[in-house]
Amino acid sequence: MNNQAPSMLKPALISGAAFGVAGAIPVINWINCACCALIIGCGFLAAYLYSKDCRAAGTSFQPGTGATVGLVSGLVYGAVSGVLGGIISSVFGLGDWEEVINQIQASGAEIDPEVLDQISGFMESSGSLMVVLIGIFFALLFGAIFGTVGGLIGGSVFKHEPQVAAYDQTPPPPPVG
Amino acid sequence: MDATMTNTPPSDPGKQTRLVLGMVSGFALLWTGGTVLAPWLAVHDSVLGGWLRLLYRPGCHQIGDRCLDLGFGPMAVCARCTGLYLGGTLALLWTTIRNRPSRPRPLWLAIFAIPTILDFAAGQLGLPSLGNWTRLAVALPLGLLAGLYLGDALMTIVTRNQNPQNDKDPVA
Repeated sequence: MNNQAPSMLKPALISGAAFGVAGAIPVINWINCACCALIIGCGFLAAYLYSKDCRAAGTSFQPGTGATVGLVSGLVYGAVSGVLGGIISSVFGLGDWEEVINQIQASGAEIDPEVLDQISGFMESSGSLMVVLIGIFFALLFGAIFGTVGGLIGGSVFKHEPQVAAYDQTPPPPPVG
Repeated sequence: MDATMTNTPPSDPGKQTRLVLGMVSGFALLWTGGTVLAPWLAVHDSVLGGWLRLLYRPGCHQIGDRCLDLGFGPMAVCARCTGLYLGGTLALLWTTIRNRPSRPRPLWLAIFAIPTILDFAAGQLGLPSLGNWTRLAVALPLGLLAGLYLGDALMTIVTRNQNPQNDKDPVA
């Protein structure tokens, strides 16, 4: 126990990378369909890991710290899932915007055809690299927002004050001689 | 210390927390209201409805059959997300009105998450899952808990920023 705040980077990287990989895998990333649950979980796990580090170091862990570590982990999530998702889309040919629109329509989602036409026009004129870049941008944006929310919730659940060193109640050894 | 240097009255921490919570609750209310506004706008031939629906797209599958219909087409998010948003908003409003945080035991978070996780897994595996209103009812307590924790976190941050020496937990 050194009473110095531990580094946030390790828990943020572990959580962000683990959830980022999950968020890039096509079937697992459906979990995000439940209110971005993967990203909120990412921030929550980062807060939990950091609270454990803080407890071991004897420092306090508060919701503000949870929000910060959640934000960082959300950004790591965004970078990892955005880049990996882009690579997976390019390799498996999922980056085609027409395919994305077909998937949306096949899912039964009610989206105004006029809006879809406007987006399709923009995507066709800008190419698949633009689709990947926009994907990374939104992954970072949503990672930051929902990672912070997850970190805040984790900060409230796991918050604790610094541990005070316990008073040593063992009697001193009797004087010799 | 010279009295002239300390003549600024310290702002009331209660007012500050209520202001911050009120702003966050207002945003949550707008966000949840937008899920109803999107189909209403679409019914009234506004292209804004389509754009608004697209805004909710990254966080929800928006499958029409799984969305509640309040009389003007399916809402912008599914019944589960509606429950989570509604629960979170209600909890934030509750915390704002009371201006006192409440932090349930973390065990409740796990207990309330299990039915939603099971229902989600059943849906993904192609097993029969719950109806829309039941799904909303199952997700609502989880959203409520998340909202209570969020309210507690925000109150702690504001209280500690008001007085960094204040180590007291506002819940305790």
